[in-house]
Amino acid sequence: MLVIPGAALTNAVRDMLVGHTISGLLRMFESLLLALMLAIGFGSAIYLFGV
Amino acid sequence: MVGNLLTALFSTVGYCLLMNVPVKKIIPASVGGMLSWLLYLLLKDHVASVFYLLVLVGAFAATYSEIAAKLAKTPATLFLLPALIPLVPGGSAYYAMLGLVQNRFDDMRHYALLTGQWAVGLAAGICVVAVIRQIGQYMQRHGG
Repeated sequence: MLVIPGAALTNAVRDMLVGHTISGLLRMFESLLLALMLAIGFGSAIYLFGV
Repeated sequence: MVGNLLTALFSTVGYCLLMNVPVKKIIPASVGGMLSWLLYLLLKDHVASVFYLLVLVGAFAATYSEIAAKLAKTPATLFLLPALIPLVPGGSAYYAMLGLVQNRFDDMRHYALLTGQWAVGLAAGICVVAVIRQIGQYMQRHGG
């Protein structure tokens, strides 16, 4: 749970509001992708071993 | 309540260690995180809309970080990121993606909207303070 990108998500929205749209979009997509990959890892472990 | 605040403080200290904050500035940065979490806990039952509650808390965190940066002569980001650590919506982003993977679309929609609400609310609060500071600097520079 330590690597879940919460701060990066907030910073992405802040970047976009301040005017750095491209860097905000990049960081937002990166953090969403990281969350998706973490969820895929947890989800496949749950699916395989049936916790 | 006290245990809650201590947990917020220690988790922020851990994140500061992870992000290589200079050792002398770990304590004020973590106290910022604890104070913004305290403000969230105090206002949680009195503000009806979660969005405006988060705008208030984000504005408080940004104000704290600006003042602390002025006193410690460092960039404000160094204090702003730890002040937001107890509040950022990491868990709900993860639960949204877990719902997507595990075929629970109601959960996914709920947590995704919650993530957006928290992220946009905190960022809006920070931007309010940033804009006020920029206007203040402009007035100082141009003698308005």
